[in-house]
Amino acid sequence: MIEIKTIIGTAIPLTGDNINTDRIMPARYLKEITFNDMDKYVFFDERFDKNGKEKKHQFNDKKFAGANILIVNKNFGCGSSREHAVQGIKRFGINAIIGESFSHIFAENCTKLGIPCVIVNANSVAKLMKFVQDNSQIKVNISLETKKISFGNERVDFEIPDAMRLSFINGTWNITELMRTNVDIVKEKIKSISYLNGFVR
Amino acid sequence: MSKHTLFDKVWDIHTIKELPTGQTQLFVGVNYLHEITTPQAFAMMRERNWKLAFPQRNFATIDHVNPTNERMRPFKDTTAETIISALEKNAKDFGITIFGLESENNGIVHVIGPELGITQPGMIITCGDSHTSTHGAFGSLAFGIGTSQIFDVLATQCIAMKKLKVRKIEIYGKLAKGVYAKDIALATIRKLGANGGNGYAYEYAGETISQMNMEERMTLCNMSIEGGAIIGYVNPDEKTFEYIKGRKYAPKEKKFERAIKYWKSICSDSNAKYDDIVKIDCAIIEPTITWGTNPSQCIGISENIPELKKLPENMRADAKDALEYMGLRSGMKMKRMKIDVAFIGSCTNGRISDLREAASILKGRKIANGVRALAVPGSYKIKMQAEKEDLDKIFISAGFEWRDQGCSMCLAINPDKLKERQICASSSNRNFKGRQGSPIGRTILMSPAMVAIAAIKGELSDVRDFYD
Repeated sequence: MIEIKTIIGTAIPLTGDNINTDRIMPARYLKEITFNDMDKYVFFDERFDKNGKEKKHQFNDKKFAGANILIVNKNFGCGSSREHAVQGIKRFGINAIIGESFSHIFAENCTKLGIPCVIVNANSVAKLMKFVQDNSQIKVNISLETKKISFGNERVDFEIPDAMRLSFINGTWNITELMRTNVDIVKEKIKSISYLNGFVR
Repeated sequence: MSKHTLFDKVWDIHTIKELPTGQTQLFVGVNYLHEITTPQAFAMMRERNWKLAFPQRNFATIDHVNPTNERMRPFKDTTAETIISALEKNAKDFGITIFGLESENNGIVHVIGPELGITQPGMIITCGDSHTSTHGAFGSLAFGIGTSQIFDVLATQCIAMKKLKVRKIEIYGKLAKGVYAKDIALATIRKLGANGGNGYAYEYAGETISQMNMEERMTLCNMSIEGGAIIGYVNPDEKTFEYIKGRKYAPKEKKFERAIKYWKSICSDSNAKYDDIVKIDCAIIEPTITWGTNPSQCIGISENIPELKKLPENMRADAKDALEYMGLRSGMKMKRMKIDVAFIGSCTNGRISDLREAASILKGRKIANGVRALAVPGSYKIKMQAEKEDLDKIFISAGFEWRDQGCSMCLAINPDKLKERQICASSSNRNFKGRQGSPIGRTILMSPAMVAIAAIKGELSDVRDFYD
């Protein structure tokens, strides 16, 4: 299992509340049967006009090329459950997101792919965004061990559920195999689920 | 006496184990699958050469990419054909029941699950689709999941989840004529905000909910996710049991009697403890329409679009951006605004009662010149029922296109799309930028009755005027 303790890198500031997964990944790309090309489509309709010409967008901005941290505002990733949105962001090179808040399903999808979504208050987001705007080549450090984000001479605290934080650190965040090893417990437990047993229990 | 909510009880019944991530491993009673979010999950199963843990607890349908005006395979759109074929093959190879396009049970996943009696009270239900909250209308905990989580469910029939808080939304008061469950949903999201439900499950309760039929409850629960709540549910009652009775997958005879006992046992206790309680007086709700680019940005039809400076400061930037996109100004009225397209359908409002309500308005009338109008039933069975009642004739003679079942123009990844900056009066659930198939297209959400009247007038209108 992969241990995720710190994420260090340059960051992209993406302003705006309620940025939904339809914007992150336009629905027409959900027709593809693999996630392989999702990096090409991320924020497509905001990054390109109908002739394929680049529009002004942080994901197009050369100044942020190579970033691996994304900074967002409130309710990021709301709407559709499409994992394609997270796959696009991940394949674009992002491996941690700092924001004021995340939609539930989006955050779950991120966790499944080993992308920590860490929560900081609106002031700190504004400060961070300004910092990376002015210093796009200076690295930001997210330490899951100290629960602090460092940038320049600043340090801010972030929130993340503690058990989840520890599982990133210990490399136990991907629970598929673990849930699978619990199969005998599952078989035993479901004997008491009424609708699986003719409603006799 | 226990004082638990339905959420607590159903959660406990399905709890397998606590996980190191702080999540709980929960058994999934029913997992629904559709073509769009599943091929990668099956590919992960194939890579590992794994079999499904409980194939009989999974049901698949095709609904998102299929055209609604032709049935000839292979479809011209080869990517659509490929992804449909992929689910057909995956269902066959992994032993899952599939209600394919040729099946009389086909339709939108959140329409057919209840229609077939698969969705029942006291279950945990998952699907790779955020509108899975719809199934909460039956008193189940139903929520949308991503593709890697679908893989978890296929492999283990379990899902890892962190416990949610529960907010009781008490809805009281009599709905005025021309005001529907859709309007309550929009008004609730407006009141609580687009992310007001984040971290919560919503329990809809109160006298208005008791009086609602199952289709209205489904509409309300369906929209929970638009307010950020991944789960919305209603405690099951006699209406729930009556709806389920006799359906294909419903328990029969003695078993049905026993089932009712279980279903009653999982209802919230009268003294249950909630993390939050909100009250909504629906007597004051008007026919509601959206003006922005998320469903919380809505107003009653007689209201003006809010003045930016009167909005809370943290909502202004979003509102300004939305108005620019929509080509609207703060302070203006929406009534009489021209529309280009009218869409009646979707998992929110594509059921028989929705079609009946719209048809009652369209009967003997014609849609305005230049308006393109689509009526898309939520399932094949609904289509057949509507045709039995001659609703199709009403839609067609009014100038609507009468289509086959599917998600259609709700998310527009089949051929049904807006063009350029067209404005669509839509009975669907999302008014996001580009949602209906044109990256610059515009969506205005409303009830099916309001869509019908807008189609007739060619502009946003108040359905209550029609009844006067």
